[in-house]
Amino acid sequence: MSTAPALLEVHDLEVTYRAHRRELAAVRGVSLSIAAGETVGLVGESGSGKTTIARAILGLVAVRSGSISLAGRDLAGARGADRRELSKIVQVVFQDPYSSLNPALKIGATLAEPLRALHGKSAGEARQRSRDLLERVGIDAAAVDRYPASFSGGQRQRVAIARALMPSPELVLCDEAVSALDLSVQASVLNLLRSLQREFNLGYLFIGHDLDVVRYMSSRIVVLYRGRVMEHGLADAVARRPCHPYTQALVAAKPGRGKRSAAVSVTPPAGSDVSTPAIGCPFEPRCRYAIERCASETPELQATGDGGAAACHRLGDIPALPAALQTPPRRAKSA
Amino acid sequence: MTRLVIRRLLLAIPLVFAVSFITFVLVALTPGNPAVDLLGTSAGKAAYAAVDRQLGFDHSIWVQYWHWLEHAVQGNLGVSLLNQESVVTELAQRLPVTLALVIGATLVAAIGGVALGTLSATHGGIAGRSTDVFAMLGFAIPTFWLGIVLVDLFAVHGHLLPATGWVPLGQSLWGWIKSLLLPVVTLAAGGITAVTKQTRDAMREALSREFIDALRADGVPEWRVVYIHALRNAAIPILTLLGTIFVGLLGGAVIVEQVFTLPGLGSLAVSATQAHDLPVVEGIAVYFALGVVAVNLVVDLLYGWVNPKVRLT
Amino acid sequence: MSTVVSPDVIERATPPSAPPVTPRFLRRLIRRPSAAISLGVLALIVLAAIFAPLVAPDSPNYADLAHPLAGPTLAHPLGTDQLGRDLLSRLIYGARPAIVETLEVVGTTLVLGLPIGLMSGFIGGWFDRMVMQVIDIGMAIPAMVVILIVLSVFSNDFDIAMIALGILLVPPFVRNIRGAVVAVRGELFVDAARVAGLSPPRIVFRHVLPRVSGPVLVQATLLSAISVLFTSGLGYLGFGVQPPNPSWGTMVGNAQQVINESSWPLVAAGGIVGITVLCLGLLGDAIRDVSVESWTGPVARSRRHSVALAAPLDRELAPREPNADALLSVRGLRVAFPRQGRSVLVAQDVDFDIYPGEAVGLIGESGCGKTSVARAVIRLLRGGGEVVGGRIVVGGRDVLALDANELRRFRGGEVGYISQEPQISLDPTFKVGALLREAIKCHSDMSRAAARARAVELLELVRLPEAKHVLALYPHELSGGMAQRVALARALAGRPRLLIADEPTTALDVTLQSEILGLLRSLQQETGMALLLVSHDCWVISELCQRVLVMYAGQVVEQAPVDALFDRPAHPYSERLLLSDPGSVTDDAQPLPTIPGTVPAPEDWPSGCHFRERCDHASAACAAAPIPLAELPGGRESRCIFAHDLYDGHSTPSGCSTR
Repeated sequence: MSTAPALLEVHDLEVTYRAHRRELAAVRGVSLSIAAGETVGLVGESGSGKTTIARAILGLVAVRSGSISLAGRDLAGARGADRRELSKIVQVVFQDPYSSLNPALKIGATLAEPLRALHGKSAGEARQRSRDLLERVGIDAAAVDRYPASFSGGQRQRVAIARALMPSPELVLCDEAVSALDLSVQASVLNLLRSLQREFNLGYLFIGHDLDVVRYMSSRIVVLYRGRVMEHGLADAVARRPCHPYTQALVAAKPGRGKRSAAVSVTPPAGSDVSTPAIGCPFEPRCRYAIERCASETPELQATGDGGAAACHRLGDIPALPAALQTPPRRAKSA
Repeated sequence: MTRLVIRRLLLAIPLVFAVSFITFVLVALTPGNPAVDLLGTSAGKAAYAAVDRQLGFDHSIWVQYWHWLEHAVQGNLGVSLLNQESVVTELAQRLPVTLALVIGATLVAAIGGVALGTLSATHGGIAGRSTDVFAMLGFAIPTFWLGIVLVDLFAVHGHLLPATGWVPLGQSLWGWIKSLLLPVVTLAAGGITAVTKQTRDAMREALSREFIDALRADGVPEWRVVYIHALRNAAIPILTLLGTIFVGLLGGAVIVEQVFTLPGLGSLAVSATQAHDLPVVEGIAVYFALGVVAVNLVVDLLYGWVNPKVRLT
Repeated sequence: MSTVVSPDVIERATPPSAPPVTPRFLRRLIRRPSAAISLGVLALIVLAAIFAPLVAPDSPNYADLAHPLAGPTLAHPLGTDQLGRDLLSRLIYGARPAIVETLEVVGTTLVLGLPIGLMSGFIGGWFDRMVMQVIDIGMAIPAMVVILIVLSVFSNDFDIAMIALGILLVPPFVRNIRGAVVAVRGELFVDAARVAGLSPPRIVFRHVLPRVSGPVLVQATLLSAISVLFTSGLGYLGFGVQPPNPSWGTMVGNAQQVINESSWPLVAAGGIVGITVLCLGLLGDAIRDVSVESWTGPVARSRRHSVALAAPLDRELAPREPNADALLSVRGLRVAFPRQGRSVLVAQDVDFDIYPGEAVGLIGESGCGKTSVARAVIRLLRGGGEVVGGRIVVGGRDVLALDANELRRFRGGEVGYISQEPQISLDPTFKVGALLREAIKCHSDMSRAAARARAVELLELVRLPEAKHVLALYPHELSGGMAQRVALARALAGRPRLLIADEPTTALDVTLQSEILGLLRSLQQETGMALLLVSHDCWVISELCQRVLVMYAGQVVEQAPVDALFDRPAHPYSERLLLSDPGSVTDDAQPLPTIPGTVPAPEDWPSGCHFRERCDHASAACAAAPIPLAELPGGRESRCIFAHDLYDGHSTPSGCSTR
């Protein structure tokens, strides 16, 4: 574990939302921490709560209980001007490159606005910084006078990254930042993110659903399922030697040559409650190792051998994933 | 389904309240003395006092409203200031005329509009362009002007249809139809163009959805794709529109009844307004509000039939 | 709509989120003839009204009793009415109350409605809910009747009636504006602005308000139109401006009285109202069209597009004969789409075969044309796309020559198709059972009971438990995985020999994806059908397919058995593509290999090899002529003149960089 002071500390987070006149939980009991310059990956499928966590950290949704602190300052209670101060520390790159930039404003205006409004920089200073950052992310500085419509998805994501860097943040949330991009474009954006991290000592919370991509970017991974942490640990360990049945299912499900995927559905049908249950393991309905205790008692995180932890009552009983289901090496020849 | 009906009926109450209360508020704001308006300036004090009592102005506004409500719930909407007849009776006589007119116009607008709109949506190009022109013209031409022109063409010069007047259904079916034909067409003219345009837009939108392609990919015949699948999905915005059109048609009926001299609620509203016969005007307002409620209820029921999501919530 | 004050008109007017009204926007607007003419006419009317004493030939009330009902003459350009008053002058003076009244109405609606709509849409919560309830009630109030009540109470004050009308028009206006605000608020850039720390008022003014200015303008024109119609209607009924002063409505009323003697006054009076409203309506439509255009580019005019190709015309490669042994044989396929009046190729010289029972994958990134190729096989291209060259042969029959009836039977009966998003590929107003029975009945003559039994059979085939229960569900009650299985069941209803699956798992979670892939495999085994799987995800294809086609910029660049491709790609693009996946990384410390440059748009395809501008090995020969598919050992093909060298692992000639 990094010995640097924690940049982001999330402790026992609970976020709820209203639906059908009831209060449902999206996230329960989630804790994680990110040190300066570190990337922590957050992996989960739809309904896992990963986007909710991101929005809670950004202050876009209210927190029911638990704490979020950024550079030692409590986020959850911050309001108004305090919130705006925190925007200097944490920024975000969203998934959809098409709606995350205001199509009606020139790129220069979008980039410069927070700097001028919040940090009191002059128009000239803001413009210069915009140009510098655009060059740094690989976009021609003349883009400051153009509209987003004239750029491709990959280019817009780069602009979105530049926008996130404008206030010199310490932590950047990448919320499925590359999921909407083609494979080759994705590779170049990932390279960019890594080089920016080295240059500016940025911390990343890298959210995604593709375990391979998240593993490549992160030093540690947190695996979520329906609002609870199933497993966390070093990236390689979680992605290559998963201990929790759900993580194993994720790894096994990734398609590949020679794999034989199951044809039988283990997914519960629609209409079943998608919120996080208050008691019990959320994966229990789909888990092949489930026992009675899994439904009646919420499993605590227990240490696995690899420096990580998994929330499973039967941790000791879960066999390692057979090699045939592992992500096999892709190429017989090395690049 | 019953829940839907009950919910809609419950929503009706605020509407009727709103309409009747607006009326009362406006009455309370009346500048000057309505008694003077009615009797002129030279009537005696006792006469003014009598009218005041009659109008209920000797009480506070709240009491007046309460009285009116009490009576209304029992089916008594007061008496006309002009001829002392019961408002309810007067309205009852004229209701069939307006009903026939407005319902007729709604049906013509609905059926005609959907047919034209569907045609336009499936046959792009020229049909689309002409629909646009048609819709724009229908929007721009004033109803009353159209009515006058139609009367001129068909009644005065053509001698085909009566220019004015109303033949009750009981008297002669054919006469009834003839006396209704021009007014219904006039009133429907504005509505039909709106329905056409909306149908065309809704059908185009429905036909652009992914499931339409999926249906074609599975070999479903084109007529089913358009007239069963697309139309059903397009029905929701069309039904919504019909509900709002009905409200507009109620207003248009007032004009049309003037042009064709039909003895309906609309023309009564105009004459009562000019004569400051408030109880009658208020009564008509309540009737119209109830009409709107009924139509909204029908639209909601149709929604539920067409759109399963609505049905189940 | 005339005097039918239908709030729907206002509601339907505008697309939910529109770009702001900027000088650029206004310039675009003026360029449209309908807008320019409308603005011109309206300006004319307003100016004439303002300068009426200077412009009108006569005083409006001057009665020239010697010449009643005269036709148009020099002295009286529009003729006279029954009292000999000049019609043109009366129309001009009559414009004044019309303008004033319209301003009163529209002003009231805007002043009240805009703040409410902005707040309601942006803040949401209980305020929004309350506003929506009030709107619902408000839209049900018959406006004409209320105005009559107002008039009966305030008989001397027409202005109050106008304000009342303005208030009555607030509900539909607010509903529309609120809708626009909600749409904008939901866009991610608003979230980004909040994260950037901008305060809510600033966000509303800087980001939201400009975006709704378009809808507001459109609404303003519509409100004006409705107002003109309504007030002229009231004038006709005798309310408002009193005789002898002119108003357009009263002029129509006067004209009606003399309809038997002269129809000219009627035409003049009705005409001015109609023209004014027409101009306002056209203006509103033009504003709306320009708003939409700013998003999506000029609205495609449906004129016949010339078949002039946008890309430089390559010499056509000699097409090969279709393969008689294959189930599906495609040769020289070219698909084109109309873009800005020209026909642009999106797929070029595509050749491939699929044998019975085989699973073939089609890999490519976005814009490579793979979806167009897949849909071309069943002739289901959208957006005006057409097959402009080549042959498609299924079971010996030329698909492109099928007539409508044969095509219908072919689709679903010979070749089935499922696409990416399962939930939207099912008609939401039909139950699953009805959808299945319909598909079944299209391909066979069965009784209702037999069809139902077959539907259950199909659901079991796709491994949906509780088939009977599922039949009674609506699509929105199904989960993503279930919906995809139902879509599959429908595609199989006609017992097709080939199933085309276009990104069938892209929208699903990885665990669900895995189940659907397994299902496709077992379906193949059980029914013996062939599969064409289109995807951008190489690993999905690697799991399920025996042979793979790689597409780039409209062309098939490589074709190989799956192991061969993944172990040793024989085309520079395939190689770079496979390398750039993080899953194939062996050394995390190194940056991911990427492909320099970007995918060229169909309009910008280079001559010769489409990949050459991004390729390490490119040479002059790559640009000279179209590159044919070269055959390699092992049943492989590659569209690269250096394919043999790459395949054998040699370094490339001409001193270009090696791997």
